Amino acid sequence: MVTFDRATQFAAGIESCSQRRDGGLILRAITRIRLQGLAGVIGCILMLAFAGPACGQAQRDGAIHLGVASCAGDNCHGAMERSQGSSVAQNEFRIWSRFDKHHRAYAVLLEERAVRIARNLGLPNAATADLCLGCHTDYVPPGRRGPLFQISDGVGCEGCHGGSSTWLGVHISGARHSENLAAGLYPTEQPAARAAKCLSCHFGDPTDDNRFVTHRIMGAGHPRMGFELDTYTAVQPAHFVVDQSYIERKGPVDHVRVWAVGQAVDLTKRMDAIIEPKRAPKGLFPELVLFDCQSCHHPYNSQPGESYGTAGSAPGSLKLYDANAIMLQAVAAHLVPATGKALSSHIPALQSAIGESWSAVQGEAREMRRLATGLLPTLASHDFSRDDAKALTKNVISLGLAGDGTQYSVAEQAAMALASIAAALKSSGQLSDGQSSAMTRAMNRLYGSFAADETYRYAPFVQALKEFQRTVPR
Amino acid sequence: MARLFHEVGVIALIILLSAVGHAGAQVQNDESNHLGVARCSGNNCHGAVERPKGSAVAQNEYLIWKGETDKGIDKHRLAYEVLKRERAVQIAHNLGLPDAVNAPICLHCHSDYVPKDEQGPGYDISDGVGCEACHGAAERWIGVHLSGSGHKANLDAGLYPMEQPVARAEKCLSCHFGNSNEEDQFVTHRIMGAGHPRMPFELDTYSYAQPAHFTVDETYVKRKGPMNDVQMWAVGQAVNLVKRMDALLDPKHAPKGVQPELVLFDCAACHHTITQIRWRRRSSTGLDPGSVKLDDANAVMLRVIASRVAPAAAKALGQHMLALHRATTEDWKTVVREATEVRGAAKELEDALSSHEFTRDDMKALADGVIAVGLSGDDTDFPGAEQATLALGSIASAMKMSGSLNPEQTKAVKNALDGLYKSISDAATYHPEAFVQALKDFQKALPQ
Repeated sequence: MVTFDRATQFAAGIESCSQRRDGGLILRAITRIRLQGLAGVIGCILMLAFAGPACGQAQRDGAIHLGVASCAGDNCHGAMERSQGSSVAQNEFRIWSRFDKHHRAYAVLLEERAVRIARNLGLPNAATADLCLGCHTDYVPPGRRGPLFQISDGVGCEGCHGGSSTWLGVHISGARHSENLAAGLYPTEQPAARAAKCLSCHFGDPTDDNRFVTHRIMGAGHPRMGFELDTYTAVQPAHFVVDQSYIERKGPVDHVRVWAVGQAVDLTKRMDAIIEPKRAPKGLFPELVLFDCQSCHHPYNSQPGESYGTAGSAPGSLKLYDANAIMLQAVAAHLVPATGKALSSHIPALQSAIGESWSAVQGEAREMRRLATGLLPTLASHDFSRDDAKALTKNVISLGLAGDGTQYSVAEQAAMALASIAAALKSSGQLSDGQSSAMTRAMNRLYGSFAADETYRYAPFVQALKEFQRTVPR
Repeated sequence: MARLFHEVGVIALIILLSAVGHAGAQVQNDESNHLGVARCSGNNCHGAVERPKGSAVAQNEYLIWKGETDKGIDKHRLAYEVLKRERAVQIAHNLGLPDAVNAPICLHCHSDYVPKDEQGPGYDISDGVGCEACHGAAERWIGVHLSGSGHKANLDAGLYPMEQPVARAEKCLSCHFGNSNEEDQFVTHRIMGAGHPRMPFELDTYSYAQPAHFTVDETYVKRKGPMNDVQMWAVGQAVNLVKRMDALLDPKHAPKGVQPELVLFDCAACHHTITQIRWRRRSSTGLDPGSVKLDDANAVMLRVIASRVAPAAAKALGQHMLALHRATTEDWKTVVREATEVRGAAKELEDALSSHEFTRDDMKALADGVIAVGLSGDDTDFPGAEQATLALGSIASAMKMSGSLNPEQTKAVKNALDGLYKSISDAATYHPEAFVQALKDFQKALPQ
């Protein structure tokens, strides 16, 4: 039995504020829960605010999308109370519609910021632009929209779980999970599948112009998109509870595995984007969205030594986003040392290739992709023990403390990684209450140290990291 | 001369200058001996506390440079000193240099850097950017100069003609922008990335902000001709643009790998926070959001100047700048072609502006032109706002000197100029709206 879990805690939080509808209270609810759940608070909220309510899905299931209303019945997933004997809480729709930003993904296209972004892009309207709708809704072609389908539902149930026409019948009949899957339900409980699904928008599909946020779109005003699979699963907020019936049906949830697999899939997708001919340099510049945002977007009056350099980058050089690769290196160094070593030499090689040519960058990206996909089967099947969790904590912390890895993007990924590992340690049930709350407090300070990228300095982050390190049980 | 308006935005200027740091110096290829600052600083020469009767100059020039008057120290004096400070140590470390004080890449502009065999007995590198860095090696002309033969005789003997706008612009900009043809006299983005401060520059403003160690009085005008701040500003813009294009066209700065020489681009195009939407379409660049824009503030100012003085050149400049911006999203070959065109247009204007006589009507028209660009929304990017502010300071100063402003108007313009400087005092928190408002206030303060 799972005794502590971010998802459980969140569900509890929702009950306690189920009558409150205003956003501030919702945020506070999330805040409180994330506090309890050992994940960082302020930072996370900020990240989510940046990430905005965007999201969405590649819908290639071929099935008809019947619409959110098909799932929301009060005897289905829109129940106030869990029916006796039900395997799930049945309030999934209610959580989504009240708290989940996926629900607002379409609505946000009507807001002032989206209007301005659309204008900057020369589009008449964000709410009718393929470029936006690809991820801000469950954007299936009209022929695959059932009678209850509404584009204004944003990223609804079928955005992630797949078009339900093929499996709804089986599902309603009380079939087992494996039968639902066989009928076409998307396996979001499997870390690699979940990662691929989430990242199809939270990073994007570089081959698809309607599902990839280019630097042009960023420059027009789109918020930056931070992502870490395990953390973002918890803060949607999750509309599932990992209890005994969940584990019986879908297997146990290992936060460390979800994190690690998420990193490998994310890195693979980033390297795909580099390799993709559509994202090749145009004119004098490469596709800048593939680069580390803060390596350019920092005040230029920051002191030297606060520079955003990293191994392989010359001062003043563009720097590719490599925080996923650095996290994956921390994982591999423990589980597959040879791959860890290879990553540690290919990460700087990728950066220094920028000074050579795009084809050199692509060559290194292929190597990196090979290493990431090579790790995936190990990560997806490895049983992460408490010792593993502790070793990974140590690796992530030492990367952060190394000095090289303390640029903003790495600080952000390191903190989310530590929150996920801490959640795993916690759910293993072996931490005392005192240990848990000390870790929570330290984690909150860690998140606070990079809450705003414009004021981020590595020294306070390193300090917070050291303080967190002291709270990790030996 | 009451150099009112360059005493105005003092706070802002100090900020600008401290961003510039203490750099500034000269390429010295005059191949005569540099005799050293000590040779000029005698108390009966340029180190006099009081002006001797009948002297053509105040003779306190050395004292001003050294910081021994109430004007504050000339940062040229500190140019070498600063190489020993913590920031320079960190920059050198980031660049893989053992230290900054021995690195030619730093010394070229942080001292009067001449080869050993051109260093006279009084030469001291630690003087930083001393007299001869700007006025030329004294060996050739000091005899003539001491004999009191007149300015023309000094020039003939080799004194550098600092009073001539094009010559002064080239001298200052050889470090304040950099020389593209000298291996180590150009601050690349690599050096910036290692921690070097940004280098804003405007010839007229910076001439006074050093602080100036000359006074344009009757004897100055008699010896060197009249000085017109608007002309100094205008010529400075043309020379600056020529040098920018030279740097862009220099094969040493051609793109390496997948990045061009970033120092030629607008710093604030990338170095801004990403939490607010700030992008606006500009008709004079045509660039899409998310593009990295060349720093075109000089070109925009020059277009304003040319519209008044040489309208045909203004049109050509505008068209080629637009094409140059577009070329950065196309290919290097087109960049080279358009940069060559822009250079040609700027070079022509350099001549036209240095011979043009700027009237009071010109001054008013140029002030209106600079204001109009800002208010049209076409250039309220940070470097554009910065250059517009510096320009209006120079124009206002010229208006004051030419008698276009009465005392009341002078006061109003001074206050409005303070507002403009305030709006650009910090690139990190710069808001175009505040600049535009300050611009409107300035417009109201100008006599109609």
